[in-house]
Amino acid sequence: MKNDIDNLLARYFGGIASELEMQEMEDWISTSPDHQKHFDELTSLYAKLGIADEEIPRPHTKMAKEKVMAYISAHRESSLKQIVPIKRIPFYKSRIFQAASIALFFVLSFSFWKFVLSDREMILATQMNSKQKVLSDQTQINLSENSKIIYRSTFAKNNKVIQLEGEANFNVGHLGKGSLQVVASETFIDDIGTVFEVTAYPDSNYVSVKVSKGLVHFYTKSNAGLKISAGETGIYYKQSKIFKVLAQKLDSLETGSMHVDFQAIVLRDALDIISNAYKVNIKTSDKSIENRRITVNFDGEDVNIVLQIIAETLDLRLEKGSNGYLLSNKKSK
Amino acid sequence: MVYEQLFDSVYEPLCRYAYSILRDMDEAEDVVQKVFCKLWDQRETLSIQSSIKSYLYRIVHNDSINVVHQQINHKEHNFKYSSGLHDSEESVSDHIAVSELQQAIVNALETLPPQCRKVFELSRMEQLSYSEIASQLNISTNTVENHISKALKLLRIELKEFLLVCLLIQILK
Repeated sequence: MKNDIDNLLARYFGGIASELEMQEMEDWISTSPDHQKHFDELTSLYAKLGIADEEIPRPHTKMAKEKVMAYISAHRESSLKQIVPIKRIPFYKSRIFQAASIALFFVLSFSFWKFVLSDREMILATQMNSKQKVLSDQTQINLSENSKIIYRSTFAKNNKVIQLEGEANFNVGHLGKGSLQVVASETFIDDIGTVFEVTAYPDSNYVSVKVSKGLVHFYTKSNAGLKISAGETGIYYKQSKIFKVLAQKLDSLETGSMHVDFQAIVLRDALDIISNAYKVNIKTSDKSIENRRITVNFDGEDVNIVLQIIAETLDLRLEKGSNGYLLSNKKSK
Repeated sequence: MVYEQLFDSVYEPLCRYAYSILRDMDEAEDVVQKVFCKLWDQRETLSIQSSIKSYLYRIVHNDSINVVHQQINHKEHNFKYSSGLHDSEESVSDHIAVSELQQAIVNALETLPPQCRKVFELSRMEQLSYSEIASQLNISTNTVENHISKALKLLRIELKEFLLVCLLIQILK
């Protein structure tokens, strides 16, 4: 305890004591006259150590007193209640007028509360086109087609939580209270000063977070997850409930190629990523195939090569049709 | 007028205390006056467990430290410290007391371990923050706090008698 109070005093004199620590110090001082004396001695010592080699100028006490007393007088007067003479009005009119005013006041207040102040759900949804939105904390959201975000009308007043279904790019603003948190399916993405993109379609087997700038914390309620840095993509596989960071950036939309390292990943999850990256339809003839795991890496090959490699690795047959690709067991034919 | 009596009894000591941090009496008076105004504003909601004087010293201390840290650069602050542009109406006895105290402080500081003394001087004389000291000396802020804590303990013991004498001189004046 002694060491604690000594360090607490050191923090106080250094100007870095928190409010809680100040309260602890206050409590310690008040418990004993010896503590009060100890504190007073240190205060005196602290002052003398700073100015011992100087002659101290005298303050302008009289002028200061006039200033402070004038402040007190001014604030004392403004707090006094004023007595306003009540006008004599006809009794009949007065009662009805007051009742009507009160009723109107409640109606207006309720309306104002309902439509302006109350905490209600805000939804932004897209279908064929993307949409842009700037939230009250200056966070810029680029919502892709067929996507939806939900947030509260009190966003940035107490916290900053956005639910996402689909895909959106976030350029995080920092006004208001709290840090941004995106809830995507069962995952949470906490902003630590970033620009990032989240993909979380409801019928997809994964949630991905691609970070352009800064850092995010990507996790679920039961899994501490990962921190994803700029240039990395984090994937959460819903089926296996694991997180992975892809070795290199999942850049597919612009170049139509993949640079990726799959490590013992469930095939269904891998096919989802490839399908999304290359915008192709990939099916399997047998659901049991999808549960198999694959370890393989790609470095910019086109989709035909990628799927051929997967088929070879898992001893599967690959067929290409008008509707996309089909992977099947070689024995089934 | 309890408030007025309080003002009369603590205004000057508080200004001197603030001056020891700010090295500028105008700024010190500004801080102390604002503290008194804040005290008035909060008079109905304030709950002080220790003495009111002690409370005021703490508020003045925190506000003064904040002012120092808000200043543009330490050169501006240290310039005021070293330029010594001020009026002085101290008596001869005060001057002698200051010189003796000065010597006592020098002697007391010499009893501190070297690193502890270095940290303490950077904090108290040059008004560096703990994080600045930690950065300059390549140590953690926890270590800085420990050094300051140790320095205050040792100096309080070394200078206890001298502080008591100074206090008595103040009371008798």
